[in-house]
Amino acid sequence: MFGEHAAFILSSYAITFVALGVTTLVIMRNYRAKKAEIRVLEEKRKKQK
Amino acid sequence: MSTETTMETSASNLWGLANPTRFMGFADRAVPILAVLTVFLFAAGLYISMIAPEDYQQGHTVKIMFIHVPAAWLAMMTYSVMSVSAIGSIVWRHPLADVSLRTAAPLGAVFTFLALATGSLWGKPMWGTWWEWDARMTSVLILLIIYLGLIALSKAFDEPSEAAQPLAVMTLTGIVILPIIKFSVDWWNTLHQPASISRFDTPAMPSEFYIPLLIMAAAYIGLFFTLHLMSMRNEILSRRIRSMKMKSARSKGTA
Repeated sequence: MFGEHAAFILSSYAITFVALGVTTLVIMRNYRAKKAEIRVLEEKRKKQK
Repeated sequence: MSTETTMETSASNLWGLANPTRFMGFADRAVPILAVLTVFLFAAGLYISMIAPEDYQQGHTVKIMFIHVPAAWLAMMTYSVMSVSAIGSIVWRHPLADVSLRTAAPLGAVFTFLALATGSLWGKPMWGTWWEWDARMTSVLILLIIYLGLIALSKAFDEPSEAAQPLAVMTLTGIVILPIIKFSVDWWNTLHQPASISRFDTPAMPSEFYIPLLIMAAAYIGLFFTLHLMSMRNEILSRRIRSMKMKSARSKGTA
């Protein structure tokens, strides 16, 4: 399916999907972490009031 | 509805998004739709790429082109988005333009890195070398260094708003690299081949190759906009957290 240069073809697809996948996961994890931090800060503020 | 009224409505909708709260609502609605569309385009693009026939010169390595060329296009497109944001940041001093600028830089760096890495993996079997100090490759490497420099600059200030103007000015200074990359294959005698698609009506390749290339390019564009909206949302939340912490510290100080 990939001929004699299969290692080069598969490596380039692997690098691409790992890099894009990791970038997506990091951004998603940051979003969850920030949402959780905002919830904690809002709860603290309510308690202070 | 007249054309004038439609244009006025579109313009007011666009300006409405400049409000961070409205933007967050828009991003929350748009991200899932864009994500589904991107996954569909990647699935279709990958399938068509895998069943594409061998090229008479490149053999099966032509499959690398379907991920290398869109990565190179996106590396340049991302810089164009950053430049438009930089103009918005300098002219209107709008915080959302600065948010767009600083969140696009890491995405641009990823696409540029992928263009270089996949290009190198294609170059070894085709040219017999991983790297050549050729005008196209060197100028793309300079673009990666510019992205890394802009990311470093955006993180060099404690207060994000203080970085907005230097970041915008540096981005607009670096825009000179885009025509150099684009025309490097025409201006200099390079190892790198000329543009893959210069005209859509008469492409320099058969449809078996340019259809998967265009579908993968659409998938990359979808991914860029999805990740850019998500990153912008993260940056707005970071600024909200910062402001909440400062308010809390101030109220503790006065108590």
